[in-house]
Amino acid sequence: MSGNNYQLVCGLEIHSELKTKSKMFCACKNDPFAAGKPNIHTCPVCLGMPGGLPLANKKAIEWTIKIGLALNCQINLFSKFDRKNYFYPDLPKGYQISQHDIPFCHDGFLDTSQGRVRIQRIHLEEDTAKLIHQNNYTLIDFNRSGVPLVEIVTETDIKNAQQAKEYAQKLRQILRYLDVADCDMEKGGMRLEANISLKKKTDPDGFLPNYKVECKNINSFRFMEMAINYEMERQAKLLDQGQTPKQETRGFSAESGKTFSQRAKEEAEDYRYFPDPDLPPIEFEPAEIAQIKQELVELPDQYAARLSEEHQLSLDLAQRLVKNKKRAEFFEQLLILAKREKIESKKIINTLLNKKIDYHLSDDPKNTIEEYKKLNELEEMSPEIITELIKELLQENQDVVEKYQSGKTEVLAFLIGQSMKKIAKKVDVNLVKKVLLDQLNN
Amino acid sequence: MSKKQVDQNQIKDIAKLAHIPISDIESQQLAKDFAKTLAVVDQLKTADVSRIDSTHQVTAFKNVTREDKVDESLSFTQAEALANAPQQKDGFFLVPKVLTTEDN
Ligand SMILES: [Zn+2]
Repeated sequence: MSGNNYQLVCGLEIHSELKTKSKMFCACKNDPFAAGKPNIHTCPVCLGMPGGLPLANKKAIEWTIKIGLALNCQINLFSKFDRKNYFYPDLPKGYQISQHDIPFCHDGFLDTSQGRVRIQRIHLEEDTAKLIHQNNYTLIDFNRSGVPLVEIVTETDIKNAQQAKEYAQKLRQILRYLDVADCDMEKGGMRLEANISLKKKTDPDGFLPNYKVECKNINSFRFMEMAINYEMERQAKLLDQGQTPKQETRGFSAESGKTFSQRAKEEAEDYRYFPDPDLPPIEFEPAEIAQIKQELVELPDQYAARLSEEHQLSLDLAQRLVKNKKRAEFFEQLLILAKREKIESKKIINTLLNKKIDYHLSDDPKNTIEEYKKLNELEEMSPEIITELIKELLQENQDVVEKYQSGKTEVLAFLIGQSMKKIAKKVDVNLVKKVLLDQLNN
Repeated sequence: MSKKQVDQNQIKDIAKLAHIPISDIESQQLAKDFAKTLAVVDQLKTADVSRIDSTHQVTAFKNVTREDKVDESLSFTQAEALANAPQQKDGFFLVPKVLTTEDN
């Protein structure tokens, strides 16, 4: 059986740190990347000292709801925090405060060009400390410990690596539009994890293979795409040989472009979740959710649709204008001004996208419009001089004129080009054409 | 009081999760003790809970949250944070090399 007899079964789990001012359960500064020094933003709570009492950050909870609403989720009006128990040096309490059976958000979706990706759940938890592995020891920095972290989990709807990448990129775009996360992939502010398995193409919809490979802590969209493609090939080979790929966690090496085994999961994880007795449950009134919904900003897809509609642009072209909010706002201002000046929207956008005008998103769009006008301004030249020059040209090209007059009218384009060259100024091409035709038909 | 069965392997699994090393003899004794404890806890099953909602909390509090404000007066200095560390290096906590991967 060859590789294309298999269908990818893939879901993504994406972690993103929220950019609140303070940490999730304490008043320490949330600034893990710019701190400069390790262990300078800590307290008894985020160091996991006995007696530390966590207090939930209201803004982080509201932002999680906001993300859920932006991703078309249902919101649980009753929710709570649970303890996820495991031992690891990045987790001094011996448990991570997370959400188990009642996440803030569930059952949403995000549409990609290859179809809908359903979102199973979005929950809020605390990030762990940062570990730096050295040859003989490990260093720990707790500046990151307790930073609010959302986890967004999809259903296994992703059909190929390209769609996984598009989903993740769209998700980052939305989080940035909402202004709740920086999603710095390189620093680890956003971390990707793909659950990858294969089924036979003949298997029914919704069929789940009896194994699952988790590729964890991937820090670029391209690497995720590569990891998924590599896994599809690796697993297809094993399945062809009649083997079931091992249920395990794998890492991805950017150098080799391959995934590698990190840890086999022989026994099911046992995190012994239970409600955190230090953190009372969170309850919302429907009106509070409605209020958050009302405050939602226009999201990239809606923004593009509106620009396309209001300014007669194709949706594809409009999509290219809304990659980030600053860009979208710049182009919208520009389009409004262009409309006022009766400049064709598609023309000015194409001029800018083709880099015929140098522009920056921080520019005043007014100036960009002026530059565009200058670029397109026709130079003054009297029709008499144009007529003289064209007459001269026709003299020099008698053979072409004869061709035209014998019915080969397609040479007109050549003559227009030559005329523009001879005139050597930016004049109205329609005028040139008119003069040419007058002369030729004389 | 019904008799609960707890075998030694269950005890060893629990000990592993709790990171507590135990000997064979200890696990035998613990299996007996756990059985007794579970039998006591089992009495809860006789309570009628048909008219009680599932309970996540017993404090009756809800929505105890804080505003998103930094209060550095509650934070440690680096030296304070590291004061109890058995080993430290360049402002970091230092621990023996960790082999498995991050897990969150
Ligand atoms: Zn703290």
